[in-house]
Amino acid sequence: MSKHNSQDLLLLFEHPQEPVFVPKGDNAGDNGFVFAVPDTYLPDQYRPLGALLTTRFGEDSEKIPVKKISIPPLGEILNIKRDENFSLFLEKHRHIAGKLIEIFMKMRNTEDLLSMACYCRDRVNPYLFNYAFSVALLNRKDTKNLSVPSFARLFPDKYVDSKVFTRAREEAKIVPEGSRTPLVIPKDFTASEREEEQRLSYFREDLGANLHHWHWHLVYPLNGERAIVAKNRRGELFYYMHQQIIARYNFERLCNKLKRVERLTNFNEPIKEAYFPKLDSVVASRAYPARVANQKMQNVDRAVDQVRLDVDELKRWGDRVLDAIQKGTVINEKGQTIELGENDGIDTLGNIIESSVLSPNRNYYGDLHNMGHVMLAYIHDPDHRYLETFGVMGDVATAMRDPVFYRWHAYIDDIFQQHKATLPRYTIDQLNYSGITVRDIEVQSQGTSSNVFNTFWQQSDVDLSRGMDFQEKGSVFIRFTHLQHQPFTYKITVNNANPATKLGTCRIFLAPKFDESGSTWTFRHQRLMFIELDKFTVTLKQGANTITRASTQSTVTIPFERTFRDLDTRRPGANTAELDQFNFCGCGWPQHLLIPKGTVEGMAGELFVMISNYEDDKVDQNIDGVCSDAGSFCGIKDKLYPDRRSMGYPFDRLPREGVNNLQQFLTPNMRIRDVSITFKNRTIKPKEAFV
Amino acid sequence: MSTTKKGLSLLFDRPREPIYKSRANKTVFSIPPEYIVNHFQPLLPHFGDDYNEEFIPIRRITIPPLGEILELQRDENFSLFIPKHRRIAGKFIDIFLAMANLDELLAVAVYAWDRVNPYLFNYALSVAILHRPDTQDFDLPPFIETFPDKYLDAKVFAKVREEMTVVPDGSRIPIKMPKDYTASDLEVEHRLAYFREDLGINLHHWHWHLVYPIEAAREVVAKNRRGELFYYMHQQIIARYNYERLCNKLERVTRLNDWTKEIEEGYFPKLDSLVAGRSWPGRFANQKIRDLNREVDQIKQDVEDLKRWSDRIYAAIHQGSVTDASGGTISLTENEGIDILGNMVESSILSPNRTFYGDLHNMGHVFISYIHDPDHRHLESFGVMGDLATAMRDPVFYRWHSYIDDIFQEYKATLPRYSENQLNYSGITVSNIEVQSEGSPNNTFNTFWQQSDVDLSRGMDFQPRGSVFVRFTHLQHQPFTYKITVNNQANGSRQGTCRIFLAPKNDEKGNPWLFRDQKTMFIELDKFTVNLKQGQNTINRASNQSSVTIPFERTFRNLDLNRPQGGEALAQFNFCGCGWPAHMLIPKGTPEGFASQLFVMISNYEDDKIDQKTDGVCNDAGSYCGIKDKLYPDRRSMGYPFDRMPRTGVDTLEQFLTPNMRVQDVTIKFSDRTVRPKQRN
Repeated sequence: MSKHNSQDLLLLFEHPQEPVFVPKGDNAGDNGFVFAVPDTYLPDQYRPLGALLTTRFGEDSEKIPVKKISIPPLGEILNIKRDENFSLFLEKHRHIAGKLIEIFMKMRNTEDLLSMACYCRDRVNPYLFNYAFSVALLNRKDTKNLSVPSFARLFPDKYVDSKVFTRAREEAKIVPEGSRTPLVIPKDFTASEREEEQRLSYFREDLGANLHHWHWHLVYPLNGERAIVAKNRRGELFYYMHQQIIARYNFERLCNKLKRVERLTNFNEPIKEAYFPKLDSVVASRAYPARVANQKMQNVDRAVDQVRLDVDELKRWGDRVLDAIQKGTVINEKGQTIELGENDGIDTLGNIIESSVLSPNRNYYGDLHNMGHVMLAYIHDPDHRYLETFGVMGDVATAMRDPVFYRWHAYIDDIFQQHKATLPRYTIDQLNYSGITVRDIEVQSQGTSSNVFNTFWQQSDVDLSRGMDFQEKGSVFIRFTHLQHQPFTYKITVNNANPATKLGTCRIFLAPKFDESGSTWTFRHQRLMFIELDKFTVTLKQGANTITRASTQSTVTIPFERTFRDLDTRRPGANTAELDQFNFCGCGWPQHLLIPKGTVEGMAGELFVMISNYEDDKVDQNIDGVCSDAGSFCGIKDKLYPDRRSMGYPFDRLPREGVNNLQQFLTPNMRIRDVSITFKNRTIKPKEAFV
Repeated sequence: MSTTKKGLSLLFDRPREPIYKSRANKTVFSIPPEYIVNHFQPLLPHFGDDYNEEFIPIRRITIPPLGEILELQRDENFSLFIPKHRRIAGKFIDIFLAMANLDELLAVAVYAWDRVNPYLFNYALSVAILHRPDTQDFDLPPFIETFPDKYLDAKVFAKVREEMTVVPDGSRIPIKMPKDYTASDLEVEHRLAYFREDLGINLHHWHWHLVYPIEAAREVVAKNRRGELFYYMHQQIIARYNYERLCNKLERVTRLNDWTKEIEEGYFPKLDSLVAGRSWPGRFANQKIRDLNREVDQIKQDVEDLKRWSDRIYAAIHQGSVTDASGGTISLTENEGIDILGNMVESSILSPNRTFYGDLHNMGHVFISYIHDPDHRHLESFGVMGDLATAMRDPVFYRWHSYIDDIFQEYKATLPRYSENQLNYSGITVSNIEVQSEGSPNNTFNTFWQQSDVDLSRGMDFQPRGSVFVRFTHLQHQPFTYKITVNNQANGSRQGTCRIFLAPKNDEKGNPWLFRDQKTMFIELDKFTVNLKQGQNTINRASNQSSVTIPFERTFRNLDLNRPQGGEALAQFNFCGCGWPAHMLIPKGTPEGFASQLFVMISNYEDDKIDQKTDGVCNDAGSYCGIKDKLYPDRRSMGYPFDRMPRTGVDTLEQFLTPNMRVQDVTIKFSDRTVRPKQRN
């Protein structure tokens, strides 16, 4: 018998539907590990078979002892059935998830945690188990060095074309390990070119973008112990991360000759965009329902989900939030008035709108953003008459696939922008960095002229076998196609006319140069189109400085390998500081989507670089050894948000008097450079497989 | 069974597993290597398994080119309503029929196995086997065993996979499928789910269309009175559905005749297609059918086309004649007109003028099945209405067929009424009717829920071998006996045809019916020949002898059990796969007892009889399915005596009666209890 190792906890993620007594970790080639659970842990259906099962499974596998502990009652946690779908947007599900997280958090040590998790695994809904267990591992002190495997590997059904699963079953059964070839997922499987929204499917259905969104919500849960929820500026980050998703989506739309996404403001109007996800939930054994064209939101009344909400109620919440914005104050549950301050008002508002448990008054301001998701997810069966589960909008792992996600979030973002419009404008003083001048910007990609970004299609392979239950073991690769760009370097020349070395924060943004009608932007519109590319501290010696920065260093993104990280491979050794970082860094925009698609003829963009005064930016904390490389969208684990400015600075507010366009907005420490994004319609074969 | 026939039977098992892998019972095909598809060529060393005990040799023959048959991708769904699919299926059937002997048939089938779409393969081979002289004793397995995904809640399959992987054969327990999984009681239409989603009914519908294909070699299609049978079988489905609706306090189904209006009823099938790796799309409430333009299916059709076809058909009915493809006129005669009309409306290749009268019934199915994606912009496949095996699940099926039936009724209304002479049987009087069920008062039918098990292991591709059962719940009734007293005052013995029908006594408002309305509500329960000696005769007939139904064991027959051994007995057994499921013979009724009228008529056998020998031929579900390779066993118009408007002066059933008919008030009592499975079959 091997000694208990906290790494064993990770084996519980694998093959989420196979009972706990079936060997795990056998993909590696040997006989794997089997959890030696006390007989009383077996779920009722398998208890009569007890002895039979132990001889049938894992005789040759290494045994992992599971200590028998006194099990706290699971109670209502079992109210989500094993074959239901699970949604963090549903209050009932969130509440139950909160309870399970609490149970996992309270276990005294990892040995007890392992035991508890073994007990729960075959009783609790597999999605719920994965979510609660992941949040617990991310937040427990004694498990922080564990790397939660990529969600796409455990539940590939939420990410890839349902056709893959029958093919994978065939492949696993027929083709010996070694001879297997990757199963190719077509790039366009949810719609044809006839549907103009399909032009954006490469973005909406990107595995990395959806994994980022899932992971972000893992890091920033909206329920549970206050200690887990109340992270530094989480409400503001909710606003900013989603604002950037909309800005990026609009950028992509312009690249595809589509106008910016329309806000979903009229809740009584038919929604013209349809979406047919073609995903199955393997746990629920149901397909994700489609949303056909021209459906309207309807009052939801579903006893099974404990949801009863009128469309009018959603409007009332929206109205109250807007009232609060116009008055500049919100009312908390005790009837007291809280000011929406210039700097932290946005954080309060973020928690109100999302809403999280940090909302000062959930009764009054309601649950706007979440319930919008719910109403859209149940548009096909609002009263549960058809016993249907929710559509993709009901699941944070899948919501970004649906065009209506962006219409909804454009509406949500607009509320935040109304608040931002009430704030004092940045003065020249608040923008300028005296003595600092950005003289030149150049973007260099290998083999092309300066100031051109090159994009193309890339194929990549990922092994999804850990999420394939009840079939022959061994790797099953899928090959998918995603956007990619050639790595590039910024070369920025900065003059420091001050008599001393200065520290600054270099902020790099990109926006389309023209709007959808081909006209130049007014600043108030263009500011919403800027996507953040990078943000980093620079040391400026007196005189001319040249800053060279590689695209892969971006603080927005994480590398491809980390998006699809696995349990066993490409992972630093256990119990090292690196591992800790590795884990949190699962959150981050996927590197391959850093640059929008552009156009074949070259999409005109404006690259904006600003050096702000570090004295006004800096947050005093030690972040050495902490994973900080995707801080812009994800913050830094257990630390303060690494930039004191409002998120989105300097584009988060309306411009000062007299500024109508970007040119007028500039102070000497800023500069813009015309760039072009050129897309080549060719597909690059996979470099290597991520086993 | 010969080795070749054994080989054929293995082609109904595990439809997606490659041909060179071990089949059931440790057998494996010995295949000419060039038959193996390219992507399996590198795997040839893995032919079969060590434990194979029997090798079935496959002959090397010249394979006819498959051509456009391969245009249907292996992971597409297959629909007999889509003309392109029908045409391809017709070609494939013809290839199978043209094979000189069984060895060649097996060879070409083995060759095609990994190349052709599995649904298409199964359909074409089934039709060929039903129609080749040398495969008459071959037993076709029920479709549900090969493709359980078309019949069962998608949730079943994950559970089956778990059971097969985790629990050893022998310790497995049946997986329960809930009775209600497609909707809740909030949806009034869901009250009919037990009927619409009944496995037996859907299997019957599939098998009926296997026996009566729309397109294939003419000698396969042109069966005796097939157009009329299309009308009658579907008319009876609607009558039965309306009966069940009344039992469930719902009005009769509304015809779908306004195609610009939204269809109120939604339907979410919750079925997966294991072959397509897609679920069946749901149909949202309040959708309208829209013009179709789907290149992938080679369909471009406007809703207006449907209207034009329908208008032309009505014009033909009112003119009493149709225009054939060469411009000639064919009159719709009193007896054969309905047959022509049936082929026109369905339409089959027997339609006298498909260009002009179009493809009304089939394309209606197609329009509805693509309501969610009429121009293929979302790359969606068809809904359940697009597949014969699943269409009856959707409430809109009945709205559509009620419209289709109304066209036929419009025609029937133009025919001369039956005179008293055509109805009466002089000297014959039915003097009493009694229905006896064990343990209950006379003239009461008893219904309840019954659980039954069906083995799915044949359809579970890429899973370990061994049985795995699914337990489902269906309507059932207690077996009963009719006791009919008939007086023969004629001189000498007489032969008659005893015709038994059942209808609700009152309409949805609780009022007695007008005959013209009640006549379309009569469901046929039985029809058989009787010998009447002079004087008093008592006819005893058991419910399980019904000429409408086939026994439960035959609907779900298992290949390996309950099977007659070869020869003539097997041929009968096979065709008899067509037939209304016995468990659905009697409508559900109500707990308080649903008032009904049982109608019995003895008609003159001289006017009914068909001179043919049906000894030894399976004829026990002839009413809806005809008799294999024979004439339809009743010379009268199908549905007689209720298929026409009544003679002048007849407003009620009572007035309609002649002495050789009688009506008995009966009641159908439903008890809401579930009986455990009797036996595994």
